[in-house]
Amino acid sequence: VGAPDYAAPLVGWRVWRVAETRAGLRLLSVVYDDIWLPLRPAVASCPHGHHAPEAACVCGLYALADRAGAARYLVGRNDPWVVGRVLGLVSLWGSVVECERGWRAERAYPLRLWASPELAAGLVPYAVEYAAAA
Amino acid sequence: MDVGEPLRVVDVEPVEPPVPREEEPVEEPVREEPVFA
Repeated sequence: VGAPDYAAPLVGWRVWRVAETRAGLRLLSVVYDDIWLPLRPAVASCPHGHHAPEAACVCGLYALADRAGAARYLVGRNDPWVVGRVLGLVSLWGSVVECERGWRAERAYPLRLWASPELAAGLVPYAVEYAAAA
Repeated sequence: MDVGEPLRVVDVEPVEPPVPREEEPVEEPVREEPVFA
């Protein structure tokens, strides 16, 4: 019928690294050095050249249904220019691969971040909700 | 991030844009001065 399966974004949990850049603090994937720009949706791509995400591939923008599962990524080795990591909720839309424990999405944007006051102040350009990190 | 095996692909088209809009500059209302003949 042409109507979408969902008319509101899916919401999942994920962790971002926070990097110091010339433009200020920016959110970064925990695995790749892909910057999530303020006020712009992150758009998935695949090195194999096909539309992302594809069910048979592993591409897409990842989020988990389980907060505790995502929070495990708050710990990890950071590059010198990474000033911290933040847990957050992320909106997912476009073509989305539903998986057993989360999603791989075509488009995404942070919805709410749990950050220290210092990081939250630097991430104001993203214009999302902030909550105090525990 | 271990999301497990894929189950199905869905199409998600939000009615409301999930990305905040850039704040547009607020224009000061033009103050019209009375004209006295």
